[in-house]
Amino acid sequence: MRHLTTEELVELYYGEAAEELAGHAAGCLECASALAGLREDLAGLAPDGAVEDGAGERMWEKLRPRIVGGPRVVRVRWASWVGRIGVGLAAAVILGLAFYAGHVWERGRKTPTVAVDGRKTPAVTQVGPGSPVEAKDEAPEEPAKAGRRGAGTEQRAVIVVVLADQLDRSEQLLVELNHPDDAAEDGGLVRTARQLLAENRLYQRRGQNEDPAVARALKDLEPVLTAVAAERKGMSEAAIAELEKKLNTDNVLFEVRVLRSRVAHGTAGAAKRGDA
Amino acid sequence: MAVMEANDQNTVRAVLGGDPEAYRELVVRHSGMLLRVAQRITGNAADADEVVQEALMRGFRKLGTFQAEAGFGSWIYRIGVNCAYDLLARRKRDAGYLDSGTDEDGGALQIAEPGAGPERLLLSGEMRARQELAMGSLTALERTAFVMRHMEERSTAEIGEALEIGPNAAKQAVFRAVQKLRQRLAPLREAR
Repeated sequence: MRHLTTEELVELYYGEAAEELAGHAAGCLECASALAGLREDLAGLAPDGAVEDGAGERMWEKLRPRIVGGPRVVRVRWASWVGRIGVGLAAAVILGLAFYAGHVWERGRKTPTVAVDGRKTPAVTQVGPGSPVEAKDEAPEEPAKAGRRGAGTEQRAVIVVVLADQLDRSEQLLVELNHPDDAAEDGGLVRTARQLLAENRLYQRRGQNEDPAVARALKDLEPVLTAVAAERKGMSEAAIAELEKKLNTDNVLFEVRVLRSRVAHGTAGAAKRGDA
Repeated sequence: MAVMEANDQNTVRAVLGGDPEAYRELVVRHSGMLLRVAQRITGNAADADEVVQEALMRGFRKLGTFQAEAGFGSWIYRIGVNCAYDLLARRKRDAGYLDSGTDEDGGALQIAEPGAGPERLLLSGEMRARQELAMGSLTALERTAFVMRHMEERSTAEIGEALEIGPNAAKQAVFRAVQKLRQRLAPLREAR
């Protein structure tokens, strides 16, 4: 005979269990005793939170200046739909123009890649969302070769520092995923994943000619970040366990740790080269 | 209940018709219910007050999107629960930066022997403290779901709807909360 699981007992306690479970608990001494124990434990957590009289009036006094002072009530009327469509079309046209202008501007900004240490490096790089860092010396002339090398090294040092930060945060996220604790469900994990995902894609796009190990780690990180970022609020322990199993986050964490240690050495090396 | 809903709908129409003062009626009618649930979720009166102000302001701003057939009470209740959940999650996240988030006493609570008189009082005080500690150990989602299920007697479907999660996720959150609470309240059970 199968006894009720704890989950079924909780369902039964809250009156959401199937009838056969209730029937079983009524006839089974062990399950009835478990249910009584649960009832006793939860009985102590009785509802509280009495509200004083006049709380509504006091609340209105606090809200009134904000409401009566300048209400902005959104009203939907069929009659205004024509106007709304017009506004929508205008917005679409503006967006389209802005997109085209951005595209043209971006194309104009693209400069030839600069050869540094036998490797092609883009002259302009992106260190984070919306913060472009331009190489200071882009002159292709022969006498400026040493200067170009210095600028490339500086630029690479910046990329390495920013990448190290990204890997640090990715590592923290993976550690949380591999050890789901109470903090995992408050939505912070999801927000971090969304931010990291955007940055990760940026690095992947920008770093096509970079170290293949970096490219691989970023690529392996992508599905993990995508899965976490797709959650609406927080992630339950069960969802995290599923993710761990499906995407082998243990391996990705290992890969990120190895890479981070390499990148950390690279930071020191790049800084040293920059000083010299 | 039906009369109240009809009154609510008339009031909503008045506010949407350009009379913001009419919103007072809705505030007065529903503040008590909102304060009660917010206090249960956040665990303190000051936070509950902040939550209710935020919920009622949000309700006012979104009044144009309110679907009358849902009932203003249920609608503003869901907004209130959401605001309380958000504030609790934020508080927990902030607290997480200050401490490691571990259960400090690790269940090593000293329970007085249950006897008569002062010992009994001491035990009851410790019980309350232990219960608060146990509730504080829940995540924002677990606490909100548990409060809605255990104290507000809302169904799993209603919890899922208010927290914008599936019914199964809501059920799991309640289940995890019950498990954690029982685990943390175990020393009290043994002392009884």
